Amino acid sequence: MLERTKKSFLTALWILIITFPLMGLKTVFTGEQAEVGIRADAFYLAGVVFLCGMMWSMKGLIGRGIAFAVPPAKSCTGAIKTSVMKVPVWCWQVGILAMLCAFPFMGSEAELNKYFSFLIETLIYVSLALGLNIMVGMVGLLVLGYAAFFGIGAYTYAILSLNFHVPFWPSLFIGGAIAGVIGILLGIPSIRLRGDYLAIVTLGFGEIVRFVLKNEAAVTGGEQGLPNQHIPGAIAAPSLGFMVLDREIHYYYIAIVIMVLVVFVVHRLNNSRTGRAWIAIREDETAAMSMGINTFRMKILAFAISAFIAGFVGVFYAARMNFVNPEAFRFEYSVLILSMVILGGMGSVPGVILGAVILQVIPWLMRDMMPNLLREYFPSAANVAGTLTDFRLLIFGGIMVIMMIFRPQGIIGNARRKIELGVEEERD
Amino acid sequence: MFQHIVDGTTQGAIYALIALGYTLVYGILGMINFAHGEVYMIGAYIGIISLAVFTATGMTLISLPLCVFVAFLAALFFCAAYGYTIEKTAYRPLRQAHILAPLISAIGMSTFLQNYVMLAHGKDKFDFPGIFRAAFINNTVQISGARVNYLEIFIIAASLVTMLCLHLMIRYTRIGKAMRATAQDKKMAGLVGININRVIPFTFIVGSALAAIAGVMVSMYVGATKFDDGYMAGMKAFTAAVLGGIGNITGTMLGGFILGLAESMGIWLISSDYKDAYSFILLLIVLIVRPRGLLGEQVSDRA
Repeated sequence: MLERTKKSFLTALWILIITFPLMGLKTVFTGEQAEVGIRADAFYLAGVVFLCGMMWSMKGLIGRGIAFAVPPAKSCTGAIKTSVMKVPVWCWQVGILAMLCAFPFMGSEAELNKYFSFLIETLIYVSLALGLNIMVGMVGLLVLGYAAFFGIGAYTYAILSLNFHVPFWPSLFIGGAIAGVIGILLGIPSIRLRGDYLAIVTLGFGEIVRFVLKNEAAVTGGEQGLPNQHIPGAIAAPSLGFMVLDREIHYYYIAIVIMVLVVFVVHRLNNSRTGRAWIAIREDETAAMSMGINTFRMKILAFAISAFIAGFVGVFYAARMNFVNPEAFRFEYSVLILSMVILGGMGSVPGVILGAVILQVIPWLMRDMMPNLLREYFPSAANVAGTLTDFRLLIFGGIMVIMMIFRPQGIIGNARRKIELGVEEERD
Repeated sequence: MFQHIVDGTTQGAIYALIALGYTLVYGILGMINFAHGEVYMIGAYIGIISLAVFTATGMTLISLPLCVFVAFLAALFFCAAYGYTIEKTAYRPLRQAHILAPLISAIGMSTFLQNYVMLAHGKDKFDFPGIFRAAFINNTVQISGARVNYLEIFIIAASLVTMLCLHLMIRYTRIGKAMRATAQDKKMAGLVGININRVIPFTFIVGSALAAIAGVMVSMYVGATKFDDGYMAGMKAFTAAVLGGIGNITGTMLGGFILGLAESMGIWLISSDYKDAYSFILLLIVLIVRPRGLLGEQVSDRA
């Protein structure tokens, strides 16, 4: 116990030392003079770290206590796990889909409007993460510029709709096709690069796309984006001939349809000849090649399909936002989508979906949901709500680190990989 | 013309310093340390804060250059501490995991550190105290028609000295030898008695210290820093590392200078609209011709 106290204390002291200049001092320059004051923040932080360290060292004791009180705790979770596994997969699919479809009937539209934008965004991210999963999870190509394909799709529709009045539905495929072709064009020279070299090339590609969007103002509207003035309905909303689908609830259903389509395509691909070829490439490219797989063509195909999905979703995004600007396709978003894929479990469709939902829900909870609840039920804690909003990205980053430490293979690892390889292969 | 070469070399020296941090870590662990740009930014903040402390305590009356020097040391020390802590918390538990797991952990760490600095110091620019810059900026020399101020000379000279020190350390010291051995084969290095759990943190410490030097120099050169400065600088530096051949130290230094020069030449010859894109275009061209960077070895696909 003393040993552990000492360790927690030393950790806290270390944290105090390294955070002291940034959090413990307050500096103000006025001309040639400076004032330096002491802030308590660093000390609070060190205190919190100490308490956490103590709690962590107690976890053995607490765990034993729980184990004593509820002896079969472990077998209990095991039972839950097996009973969850027993439900056929299609039950889950139908159940989740039914819940998503039924959601708008749970209240009046005005009440539910605040949830729609979050749900639509989540559905968009799920589709994008599944698209990226083709390259990262199935073929094992680390791609860091995925948001660029998304942006290409969105801009394609914005330009087509504003200048040529092309309707939404064909644009979905035009946008996807253009993104796909650009994906192929990027893929041909860069496909022979490996691992991190490919990552940096695609990162560079993403940045170049963004700079083009930003600087070629004649076509893309520059930093202001398209349309230059905000005119409602400037980018045509999808229409069914007899009615225009421009309410949030309409976009919500379209987003569901798109997601289901993407899930279907990805799922079918996963179990097809192509999908198996991809997995063979991921596991051992040389072996795959010697088995007669045309690895070049297969990788290009993965690029094309993946980019197509991103472009497709991008068109929908442009229609729904009614506005596009280069900032929406920054590198951060590529990274966010990649994090969803890896966090959920590369190559596993349910895993990737779960990863996308989690990374969407955490910031949303901290930005909208919890502050609002706090304000409503504990008005005295209003400043806590504000703090939570400010700290959300900090907590988000921390959670990513912690999740990776506890489940490096992702939340739902790839089942096929486990069956085929028996054990996780050793890498070093 | 010459003016642009000077600007480019200054910028390139800084890219090279940051890029060395990426290359050292990549050489040993084979991972991209995404949080490295944030360490560089923290270095800039700590440099400025320590100068503020010196001003407030009246140490500036003794000697301005000494204060700047001590500020460099402070930034170096704290960044090394940050580098060590990051390795210990975010990367060490993942050393046996899948190759992409530490990447995500690094991205999380980068977001975390960026927001930590933002919460502590706000979203506004953090100015570098003018009195320390004035002496450097206002003195210039004329070289072939270009005005070169002392700060630029200082940055180029200091980075060259730092890189020379790094080179000597890796080439001739015991720990340098251990680092090279670990980069070649971790397991084998362990078997011949090298303590990998000391070599890897040491690599992070060295890389972070280099980033700290770069951070203080940039904040001095530009006159301010900001909580999201690490992002672009980190990305450019990483590009420089890949351009020269990541994992190869000489290549990385070369890549940094080439990148800086290419950028300022691009601004001079074409336009400044695409300032940040030139480096990536150059990278694409180089990688298509030489897929492992300028000085990267042509190793087999599966190491």
